[in-house]
Amino acid sequence: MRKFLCFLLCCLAVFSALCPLPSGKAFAAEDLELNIMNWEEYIDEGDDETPSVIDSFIEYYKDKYGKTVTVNYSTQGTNENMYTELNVNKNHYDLVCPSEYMIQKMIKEDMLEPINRTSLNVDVYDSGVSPYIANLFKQITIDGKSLYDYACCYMWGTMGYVYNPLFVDQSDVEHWSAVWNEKYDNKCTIKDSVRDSYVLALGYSYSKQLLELADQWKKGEITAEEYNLQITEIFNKTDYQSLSLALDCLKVLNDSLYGYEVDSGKKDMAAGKIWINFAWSGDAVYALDYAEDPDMVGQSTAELYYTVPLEGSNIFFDGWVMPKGANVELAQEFINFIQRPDIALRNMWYIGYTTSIATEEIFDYLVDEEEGYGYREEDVTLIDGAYFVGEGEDLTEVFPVDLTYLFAREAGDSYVVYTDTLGRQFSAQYPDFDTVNRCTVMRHLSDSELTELNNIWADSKEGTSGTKGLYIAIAIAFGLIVFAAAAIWVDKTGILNRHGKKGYTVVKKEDIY
Amino acid sequence: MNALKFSRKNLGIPYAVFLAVFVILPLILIVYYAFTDANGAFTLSNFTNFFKSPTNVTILIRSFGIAFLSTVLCLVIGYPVAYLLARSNLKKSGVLLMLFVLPMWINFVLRTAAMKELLYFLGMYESGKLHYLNTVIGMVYDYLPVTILPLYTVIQKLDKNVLEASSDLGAKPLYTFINTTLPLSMPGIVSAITMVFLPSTTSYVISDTLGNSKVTIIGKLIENKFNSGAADSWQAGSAIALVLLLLIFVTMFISGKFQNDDDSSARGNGLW
Repeated sequence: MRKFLCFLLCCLAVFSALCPLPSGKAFAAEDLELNIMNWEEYIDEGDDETPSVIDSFIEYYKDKYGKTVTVNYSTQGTNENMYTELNVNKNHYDLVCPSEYMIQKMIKEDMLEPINRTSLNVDVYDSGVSPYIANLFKQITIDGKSLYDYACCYMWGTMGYVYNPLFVDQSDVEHWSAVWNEKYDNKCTIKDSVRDSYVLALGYSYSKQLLELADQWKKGEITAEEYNLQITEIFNKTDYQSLSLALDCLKVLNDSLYGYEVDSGKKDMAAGKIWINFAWSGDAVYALDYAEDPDMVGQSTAELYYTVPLEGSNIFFDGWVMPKGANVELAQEFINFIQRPDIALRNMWYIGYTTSIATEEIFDYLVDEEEGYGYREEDVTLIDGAYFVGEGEDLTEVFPVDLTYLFAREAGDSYVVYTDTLGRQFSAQYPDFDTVNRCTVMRHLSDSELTELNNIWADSKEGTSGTKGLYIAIAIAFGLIVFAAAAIWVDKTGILNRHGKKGYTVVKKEDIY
Repeated sequence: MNALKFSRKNLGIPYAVFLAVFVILPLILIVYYAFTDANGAFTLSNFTNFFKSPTNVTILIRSFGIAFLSTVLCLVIGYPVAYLLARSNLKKSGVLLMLFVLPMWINFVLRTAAMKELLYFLGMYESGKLHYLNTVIGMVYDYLPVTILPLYTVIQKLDKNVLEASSDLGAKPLYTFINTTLPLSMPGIVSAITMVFLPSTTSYVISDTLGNSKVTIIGKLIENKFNSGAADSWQAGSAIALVLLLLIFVTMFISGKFQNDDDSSARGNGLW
């Protein structure tokens, strides 16, 4: 009995040691703690010489309030993991950065603190954020609550194809059908993530309809908003017909794909193992940078391109949200800090996605000849309907990219960047309005829809031939069993030792007795 | 106070605590989740949902197929190596053994990534049809050291007199091997099977890396279920984990039978 008690005590001791202590907030008011959960590689993590954004924030906070804040920074790989982690570790996190469809789910389940714009403020964010994105966040509502009241957009991006123009025709990747093209068998990868790849499947299945709508918009028969609304509906279909169409085309795709990936695609593109990669724009920027960096890939650098197919695609917004029980004051201080244009630039430069902040500073960076991607209107000259920079012999043609939709705060403002290359890093980070308007936001799906979708995804990965490999495996296993049986038979009959060693006579068991 | 005196049995307490917290408690949680729905009510639908889908059953059988194939290949390759290392009078057999075990010291994920580059270099991805083969190669590569070690230990400890007796009684070398060496090394074989078969049903890092995620095995399926984002994701995942656990118990039971049939408890039995 006493031993048992002793054992119980030990158990208790270990349990109490394992149980998470109430977080720092409860201990002392002086000990400030900020628990952040973000995506992997989604913030400027600094290097040997420059501090990370987190360190900068700690320093900034100390300067401003004279208090030291401890930042616990953790990362997750998917929205679903973030959601699970939030449910397991309730009341632990102060700031999380999921994508818009997950934020909708969290708002629906009443997991989030609203942004406090009255007594405290997020003025740096509010004044810096692109009006286009702010409007979009106001428009996305769930149960009557708008995204704008719960989330501060951090980064955004599109989905499209990264391709290697040495092997791939540009006209092919203008449509989602590129990965189904026999020319590129075993040279394409798509995402090992059901919601992203479902967009691809729908874009392919409803290609005709989507292109017709785009045509109507170009002709002016429908407005930009109407067009976007209609394609948003198509890209969020989960009815039986759409699911089975997607299943059929993904099954076919499974057989010709090089593989599925979530991370290795960037390096496989640079190494030339694959020619087309279905990618997020930020990853695309990383892949493009990586592929042309001789320090990374050696002599055989490649010039990759990024494009968003004409049928339309997915656009995503990752936003900072505060789970219930968060330290709102401190969390909003951090939001304000990280959305300062100089910090936003640092993050954007580090991770490759596009910041939601659209201020003069950001625009100045874009048109900075040294660091940025292009030129101002003042720098270019119009010759025969085309734009050029430079003088005399050194004329370079540049192409205007109108970013007014993103930057303009007042009517009449004009923000145009003249860039010498289209389809590369700059286009991936700053798509023009035509591209953005053919991208749609994912809607929050119900549990039954999600389950359906996951089943489709599992089925599609079996391919059209499905179980052929399985039959081979079973056949081999069966063969081995037959072999084993034969071996046992040989053993039992004693064939191997029928004559015995030289000089011996084999005596049967029965003869002995 | 006298009762709290240290006794040798107390040495087992740390492990007992470990067992309770990290083995039994999680198992109870898995069983709990497997038999409940998202609202915590008792249900069997997690299991019926799993077996209703032909894809899931295919994945289950496939995992066992791949594991079986890998185990057999590991034994076919590993046994002769272990036998030669243990039986020959090589002076440097220790060094040789180390060479075979050396890969185990390198990080598992790194090893698998390196294997992929090697296979790519050898053109195994040219056709795009060899994902299963690549996966099996990866499994064999990763688990060969854990096959060789138990076999080596058991074969090395075999009583030479028994083998000599067999020969003296007129058995040819092959007959001696099949009737004496093989049964006596059965504990090592069973250990090796346990060490290879069970992990290779679930280690989806290998199938994801070397099969470019085109080969889905049961471990990957469980991961997918857990991360599906649906309300019953944990429940669905736990049910599969439980099914897998039961199947593994069956396998263990069968391999345990082998061990008991041969009265070899004296040597190397229960090595692992």
